[in-house]
Amino acid sequence: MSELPLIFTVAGLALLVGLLLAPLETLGWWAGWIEGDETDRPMDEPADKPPVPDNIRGYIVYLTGISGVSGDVFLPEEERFLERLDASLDDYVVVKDVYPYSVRNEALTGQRVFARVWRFALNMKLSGKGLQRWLGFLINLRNVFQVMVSADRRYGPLYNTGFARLIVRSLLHHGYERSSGMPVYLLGYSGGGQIAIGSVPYLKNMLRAPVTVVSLGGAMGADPGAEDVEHIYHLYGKRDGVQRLGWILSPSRWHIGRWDILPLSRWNHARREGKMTFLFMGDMRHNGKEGYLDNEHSATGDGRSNLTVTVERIVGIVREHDATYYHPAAA
Amino acid sequence: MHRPSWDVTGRHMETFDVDFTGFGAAISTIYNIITAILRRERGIIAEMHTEDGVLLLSLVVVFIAGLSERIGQSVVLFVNEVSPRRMVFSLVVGALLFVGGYVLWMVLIWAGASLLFRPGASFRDVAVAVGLGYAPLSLGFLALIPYFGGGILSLLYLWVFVVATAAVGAVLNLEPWQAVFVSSGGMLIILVVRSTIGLPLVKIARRIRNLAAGKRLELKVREAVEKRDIEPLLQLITGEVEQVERDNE
Repeated sequence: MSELPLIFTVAGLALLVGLLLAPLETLGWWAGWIEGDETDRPMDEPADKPPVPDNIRGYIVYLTGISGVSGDVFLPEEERFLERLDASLDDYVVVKDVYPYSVRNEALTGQRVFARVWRFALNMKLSGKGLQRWLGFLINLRNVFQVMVSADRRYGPLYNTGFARLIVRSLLHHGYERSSGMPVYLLGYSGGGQIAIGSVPYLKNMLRAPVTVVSLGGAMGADPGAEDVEHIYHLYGKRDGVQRLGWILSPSRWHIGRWDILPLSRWNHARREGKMTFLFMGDMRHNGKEGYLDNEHSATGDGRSNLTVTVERIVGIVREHDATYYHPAAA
Repeated sequence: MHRPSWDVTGRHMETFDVDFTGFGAAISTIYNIITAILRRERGIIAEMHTEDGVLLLSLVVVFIAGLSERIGQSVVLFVNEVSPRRMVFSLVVGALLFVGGYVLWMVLIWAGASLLFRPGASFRDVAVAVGLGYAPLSLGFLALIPYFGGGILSLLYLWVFVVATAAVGAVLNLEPWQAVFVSSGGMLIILVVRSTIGLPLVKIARRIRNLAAGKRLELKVREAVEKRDIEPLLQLITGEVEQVERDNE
């Protein structure tokens, strides 16, 4: 046990270094210090890319949670969730190849220097229990730092511009036409919620189209992007402590009873304008067992799994919003 | 060389010789004074302010604090797309301008103390006390930490204010309220002067910063982002640039 102080010191120093280095990718990208950035050109077209159907009513961009390592590797429950969502919204294109925790869409497992570390952490996360599972938590920690960069009033504008550009790049790849006005929904899970709301003003400007945010247990700061969004739908479970973190760390979202602590903040302004809807998901956790994506457990008690309820809620939101604002005649 | 001593509360502390005779000794001296102040060894500045070479030591501490603070605030340089070489140059120039700010505050504190409470107060003593008081800002690089960095920097500034005020009070033998009065008065005067008759000085400092960076710096991040033309970036990802290149060929 005599090594315990040493272990804590090393861990504390590593944490500090991680925090200090967190904004560097964003700053280096913005200042043009990173040569040969792959995201500075269109995405490669697959040879067998299917054409975009004519009946498409909008695009849904999925931003994975803080456990994500890339835009193409998902946890099994996320895979199942996206398949169900895709099947339920066949007149929407579900885009899921944008990695929200890197302004250069660089998968953790594709990094030059630390790829092995992240691959190891991912394997621990997927297969391990106990201590091994905690090693996998390194990925979450690293991604939380990027969420903090997005929520920071100094770094946020740079990060969120960079990320909005990645979304545009991916949307174009999936057949989106810029300036077509086709609605875009950003579906942000966990930390993806903050990055979604942060990138809205820049994305809206780049696409010249309405952008709506659906936050699934999103840990959102009081981002000024709230004023530019069409609407924010925030889904939250009773036992989801992660989404509550966004509230705890954002004084602009605090209130005493009906009184806002900072009534003039952009967040509160957007809320008063009726741009936010908070939807209670019952007795659900943030992730894992009894989480939003759990296909075994039923928080509602009516036999529907949490996953089914979550998918139905999101589909309902998209359909209702679409019918109210974009295609009222078709409702 | 370390010497055992006791601070004002009777707590044991280590004072040491101020030694600038060699590079290693100088580094050791700077490290010792900064860590002693960060360990909140009350009385260390009062104990050491008469040592030979301590004025130089206090200037070095202010420069290090300035450099660290500038690193913490370097997002302004990144957002203005400053090159790596210009970045280093700008940080050093920024640290020197920071030392200028220290001189201004220190002179005002000395003038206030001399005029109001201690006629003939030693200029050197005040210079040392205020200078060493900047030691907490040697952690100014922590402002780089996302989300909490701004708050951390504010706390470090508050810490500097408390240490410098206490040190001035100790070396000039002032009552606590007198020390607070002269140091906060000095700061208030700087704030007022900066936005009134001191504007030309502020403009000169800004011009020096721009010269070091090699471009006119936009100091507000959000405005710098909004000013940047995003269209060329979009043309890259839409493939329009490749198309133009192909057409030119």
